[in-house]
Amino acid sequence: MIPDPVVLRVTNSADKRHTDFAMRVLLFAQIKDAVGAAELDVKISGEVKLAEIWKALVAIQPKLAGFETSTRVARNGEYADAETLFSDRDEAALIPPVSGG
Amino acid sequence: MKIKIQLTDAPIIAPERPLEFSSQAGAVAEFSGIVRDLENGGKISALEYEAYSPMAENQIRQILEALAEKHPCLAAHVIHRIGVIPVGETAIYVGIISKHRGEAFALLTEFMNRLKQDVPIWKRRSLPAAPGEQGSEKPKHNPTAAGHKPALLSLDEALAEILSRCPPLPAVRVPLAESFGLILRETVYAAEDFPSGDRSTRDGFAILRDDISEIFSIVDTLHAADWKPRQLKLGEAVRVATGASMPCENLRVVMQENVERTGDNIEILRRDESLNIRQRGEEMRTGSTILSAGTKLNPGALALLATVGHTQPLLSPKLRVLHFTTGDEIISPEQKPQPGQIRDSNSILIRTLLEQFQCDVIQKHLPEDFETAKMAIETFNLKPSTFNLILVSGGASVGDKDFTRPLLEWLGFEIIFNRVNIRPGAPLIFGVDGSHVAFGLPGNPLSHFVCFHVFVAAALAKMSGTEKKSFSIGRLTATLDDEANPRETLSPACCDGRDGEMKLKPLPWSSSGDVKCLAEANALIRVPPNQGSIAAGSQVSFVPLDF
Repeated sequence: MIPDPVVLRVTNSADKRHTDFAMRVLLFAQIKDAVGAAELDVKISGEVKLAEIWKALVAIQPKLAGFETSTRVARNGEYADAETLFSDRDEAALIPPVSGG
Repeated sequence: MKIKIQLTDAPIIAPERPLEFSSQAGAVAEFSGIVRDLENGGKISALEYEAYSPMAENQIRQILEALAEKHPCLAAHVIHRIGVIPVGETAIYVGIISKHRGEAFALLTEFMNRLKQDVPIWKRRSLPAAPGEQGSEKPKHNPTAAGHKPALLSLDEALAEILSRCPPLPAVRVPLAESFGLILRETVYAAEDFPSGDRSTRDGFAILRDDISEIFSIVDTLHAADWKPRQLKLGEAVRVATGASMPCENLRVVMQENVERTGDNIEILRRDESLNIRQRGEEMRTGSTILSAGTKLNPGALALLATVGHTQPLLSPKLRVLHFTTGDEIISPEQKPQPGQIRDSNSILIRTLLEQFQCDVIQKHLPEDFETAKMAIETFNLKPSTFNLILVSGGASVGDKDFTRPLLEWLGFEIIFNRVNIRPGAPLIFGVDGSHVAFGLPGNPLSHFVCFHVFVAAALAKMSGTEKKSFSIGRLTATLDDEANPRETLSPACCDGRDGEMKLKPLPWSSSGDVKCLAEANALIRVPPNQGSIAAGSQVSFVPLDF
């Protein structure tokens, strides 16, 4: 059986203490491989737009910089656009180009 | 429009009808996407898919609903398989029901295009083809086999012929309970950390790691199966059993022997260095390799797979083997032989040798006469083409060589060779029919033993997707007495590797009819053609027979 990616939880214990104040960001496919984790916690305060999410992501994981132009971001299972607002209660996901079927 | 969506890691079986069939329906359009054996120009054995499942289902539903406004249809059924999908198996199934064919075709086509743009499912990686499947196809007929009398092959040449013609069989998913002894054809990675959380290794009391209080109040009790998260405060302790999940992080466990308990309070008498906690992921980190492709699954490996919940490993299938014995002089081992008769020892020998390779074995005895034998095979209703391997044991009579070859040809096999320059076991026949292979084994027990271990075992390993290491080097502990013979000799021996070096004691044998040495032999020493005796202490090449 192949793991449902959603259950892959790679957070180090230092991050975990702040889980209450961080947004969960799920990683898939080549991004998961590049970062070596299926999930990141990103600290945000209040409601922020996509550009700031990327800024925060690249700050904690510089390898993500190269993926920004080709990757779409989902918020709670729906594709987000530049105006979508994210809060720490949302689940975000980085969606690199898909290849199903 | 009625919609049904399934993401599954099980093989897709296309439904008889997508959803229930309404009386308005006039058309069913179905599409199955199959994994091909080529990916980016390379030969592969499987593709691994990954999905962001909740979103993928969501997206599929939204796409279908949007398309249904343009192309009104009655129902849609989408199944996408996730995980490792072997070549030839279905990755996606889509079934659309509509009143007329036009809408169904249009919706199906547009849906597949949209799926490939927007649905978060990825081809994660491709699994390369097993060795031997790479590169171009070998021509089926070679000049020596087609029309010409095959040259007398040496042992190495015969082995190379066999290995080049035995295809690794497509891998299948098998439940754990039926996986024992089979070969793993995928690398298994940890899907989550193991242990999944911090666990106590002692009976004792969990306190904050840096809490230097002397007196603690007991605020909870945790048994091994309990899961009761709580943030401990300074001066608080939780009674924990060995194996219990820690209520929060950054704890240590003080052994109960080091504590004095008074009512609901404890006083710590001694602190040891150890945290007494088995840390999350200590044994296996998410994504780390647990078992590599090519592993033969032993009981320990199965326990490991059960622990991580990998309950349908991708394996080489059990091989189906059909074994014919021939010869009218053969009687059952329970009977007392009359003059000219011998008890059948080959059936039990071959059956148990095959069972060491986890084969499913069907055995039948054939009458001596070829025409009667053909009738018998038809009467058995065995469907020989459903077997991966067919073995024919010749009787001890003179006529058996003439019997096996036409029998195999009648069954559809092309004979690749019918003699190898070895003793015992020279009259070995090897044939192929597509991905099916057959051996005619010379009838004597020792010949059977030798031919099975040297040739049949290599074929079985190759079909299982592994390469068997055929030969090892060892040292003779006694002189191997033999007369020089133009054929390569395989001489039974007893091998002992306990001191690090393989020590080989030759076993006495005089003819291919010898049986006594079979019980002791766990090695076959290769004596080169025209060699004769080999002195004690010499290094020799041998075939190891243990699995």
